[in-house]
Amino acid sequence: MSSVFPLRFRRLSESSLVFANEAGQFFKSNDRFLERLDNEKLTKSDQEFLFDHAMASRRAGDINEMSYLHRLASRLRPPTDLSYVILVPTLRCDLACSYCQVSRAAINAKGFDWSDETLLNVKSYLSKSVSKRIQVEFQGGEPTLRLDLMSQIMDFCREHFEESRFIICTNLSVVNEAFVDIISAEDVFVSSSLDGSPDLHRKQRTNTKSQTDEFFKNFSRVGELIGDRLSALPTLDSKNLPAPSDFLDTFDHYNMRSVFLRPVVYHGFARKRHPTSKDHQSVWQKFYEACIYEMIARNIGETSDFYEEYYLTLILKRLLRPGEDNHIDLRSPNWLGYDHQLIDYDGRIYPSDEARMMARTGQVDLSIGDVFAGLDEEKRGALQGRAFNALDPWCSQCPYQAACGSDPIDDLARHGRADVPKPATAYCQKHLHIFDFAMKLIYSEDKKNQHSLALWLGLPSPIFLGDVLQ
Amino acid sequence: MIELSLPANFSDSSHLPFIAKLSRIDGHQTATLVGEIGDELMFQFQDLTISIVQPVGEDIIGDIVFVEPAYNRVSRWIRERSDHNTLLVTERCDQLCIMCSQPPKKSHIDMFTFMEQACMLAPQNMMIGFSGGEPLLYKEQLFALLEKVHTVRPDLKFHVLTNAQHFEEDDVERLRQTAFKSVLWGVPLYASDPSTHDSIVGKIGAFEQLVTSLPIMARAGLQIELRSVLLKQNYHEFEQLSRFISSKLPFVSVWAIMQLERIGFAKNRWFEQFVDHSENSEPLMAAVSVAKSVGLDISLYNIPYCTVPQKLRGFLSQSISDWKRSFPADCEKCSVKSICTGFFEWHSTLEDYKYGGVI
Amino acid sequence: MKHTIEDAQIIQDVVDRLGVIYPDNLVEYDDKFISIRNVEAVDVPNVRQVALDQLIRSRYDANSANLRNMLYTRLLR
Repeated sequence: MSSVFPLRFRRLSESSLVFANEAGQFFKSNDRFLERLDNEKLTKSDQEFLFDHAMASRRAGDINEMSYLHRLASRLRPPTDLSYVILVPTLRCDLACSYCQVSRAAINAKGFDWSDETLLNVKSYLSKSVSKRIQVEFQGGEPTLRLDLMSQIMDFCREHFEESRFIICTNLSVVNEAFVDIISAEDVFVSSSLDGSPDLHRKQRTNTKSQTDEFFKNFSRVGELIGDRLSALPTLDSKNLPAPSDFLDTFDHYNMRSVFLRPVVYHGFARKRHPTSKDHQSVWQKFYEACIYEMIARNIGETSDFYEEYYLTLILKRLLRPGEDNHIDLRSPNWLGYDHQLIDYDGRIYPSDEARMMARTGQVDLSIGDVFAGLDEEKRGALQGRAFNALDPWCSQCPYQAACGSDPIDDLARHGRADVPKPATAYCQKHLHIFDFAMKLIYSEDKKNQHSLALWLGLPSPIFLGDVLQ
Repeated sequence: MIELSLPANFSDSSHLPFIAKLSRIDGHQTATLVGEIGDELMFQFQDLTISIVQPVGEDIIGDIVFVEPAYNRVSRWIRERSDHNTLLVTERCDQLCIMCSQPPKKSHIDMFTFMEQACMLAPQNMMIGFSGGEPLLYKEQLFALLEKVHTVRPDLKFHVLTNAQHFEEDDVERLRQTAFKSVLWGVPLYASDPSTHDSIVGKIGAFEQLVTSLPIMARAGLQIELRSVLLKQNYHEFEQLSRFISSKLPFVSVWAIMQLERIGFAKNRWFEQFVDHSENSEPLMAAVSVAKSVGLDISLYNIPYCTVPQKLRGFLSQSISDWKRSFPADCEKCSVKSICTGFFEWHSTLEDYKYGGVI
Repeated sequence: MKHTIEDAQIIQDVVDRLGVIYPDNLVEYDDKFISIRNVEAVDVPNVRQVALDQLIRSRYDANSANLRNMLYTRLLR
């Protein structure tokens, strides 16, 4: 007699269910198995299946228990030192995008840039908090308005840390020689926004034709200069989505086949003006799946230069690989304000970009200190209570819990409180959809799908990624 | 090929054996260079004068050597400029693998004192291997050596090649100590089918013992490198082996898959044992894919670059120990020679592989 | 499906959770049956399935709680 590591289940369709345990091992089965599990009447072959797949142990300390505990432990990573910092040297911006009501100040506004004193304190804060490696993401406002501050931070990091990497998030409305000089270094990456066709991009961002033309000219130029150190994030509005094929064409035109598909999230007042309803959600989900299928169709025959959606690949890795936990929005425990922090234009420290937006819209102050007085451990600690999904009564019944994450800041931002039952949160609904979709692909018998899955996971050949208990 | 054992002459052949570091300057336990006559190097160790013929194209200064005046021999135990230094703990073994590259012997000479001295003299941050025979037949002495060396030389790393038949519950507490964090344990596993594994290692019950030992090692927090050799006897089961490892052994640090070495027992049984992966790469591809899908680190060893499909090349390691490595003449023209693992000196030919050749 | 309901706590958990899943419907338990009011006819099979699944989930959860705790204890050792 063996003991089965506790399972959770979810219906994938009328007749098939996915089962998984807390360590993240999963398989597909049916209602008959569910009934046997519920009645504690597993057959000999059920037990053999579960034992062979290391999902049941025959005695304490046996190989299966050890592998289960090891997986569980790998998914419970302790907090690590600060290594990813978002810096906002200025809040001023030269564009006025329709989504961005909160994280910008007018181009000529005063008092929205780091002072000399702030810069000094940012440096000393970093030297105290970062151990060996650092990734710096410059955000805004438009950070390129202060190339001088960025250069000083870059020089400082290169001198102080073993390894530095810089990502400049910019609208690329101005590309001057000083900027070209900065991005010529191999440790500098540029991330911009590209919403799709020039027409859509103009509607959502650049407003005038001349600004739009200037952006596309700059975008091409930077691409020629730094190749794949340039990336672009689309901002997609469920109410105004492009055709998947056109959308991918635009990205392909700039040699960008790895795309991160996210619908725009409105904050503060804009949320009231743009409520996201259930309908929008299903429109978005249809668009998302259509994009993925379009990518899969285009991947036939490809081996190295393939299309992928960043988040779906991450989800697949989280499902299959314990310890794959580098994404701050998709991990649990989510150590908020530990390895990842944002330092705002005024020197205040936040656990994430979304947290600073909420402070700005006056929803709630989630700052965890500032570079002058240092971290406020108490405020940081207060965020951890809901950052561990295994303790949530809903997540702990969900087969995707081990692979999913917890993001109390997102819950707060969208729902005004952090204790909303999980099924009612946007976070849960969004992730259930992608996990279900990932399962559909994993268990699909279509060779095209299996070919793309192998590409996304870096496998030499397609293999069965999911087990089935008949 | 690099000479590991060098003929030497001594001023006093009755001098007892000892460990020394060949050096230009006088120091702790050094045999100091005092003269060069042609290609002959003269060293002084206390009252003893040693003369060694310098091997062609090689620098032996800095090496840590085991000196045996009675046998007119100097053995290069730790070569300063190599990443492949392995000390032989014993030639005894409790398994008898069908392809063993170093067939076991019944006799055993205890060299722990010398091995310990050699480690103490090793260059900074070096990785030193222990092999056999089965090193853990002398578990107590080996553990004690690792602990003692670690207290003086915490910079050193070790690799112990063991059949893992001798770990016990009672070892866990001891192995959890920091000394053992510097050790990578290489453990062979040839099949997930107990009878296949047992028949390859020549010991009934070996698989069952492994399945008991591996969780003990994991609980002690040991770093484990699983090692599987491609053989006619297990190649068709390689995907299953990978599924077994992927589901039951997530705690191993790395899985090393290696092609057969034509030496030892494998030399005379080559055609019953060697499997040409270039002719049918499917089992290897599937095994790598399964392991990679769960995020396991995989390295392919002793596999020439040109003999595997493009998709597997990213997993190849340049691995053959420098002193055993060579290339056939044809490879001189090849554009990827510098990243290829090459061939074993004693069998440097592409003839075994149906597909492959200059790239 | 036949289900023996022996634990009031489990039933309460099921009722509470169904209340969250169907905030617009009244979910009740009257000693024998769990009832969900105002469900449109087309949705009935689906809602019934969700309710049955939740019952199994809550019951299995309660039955496996000890094992789950035991595994965490062993993890921390």
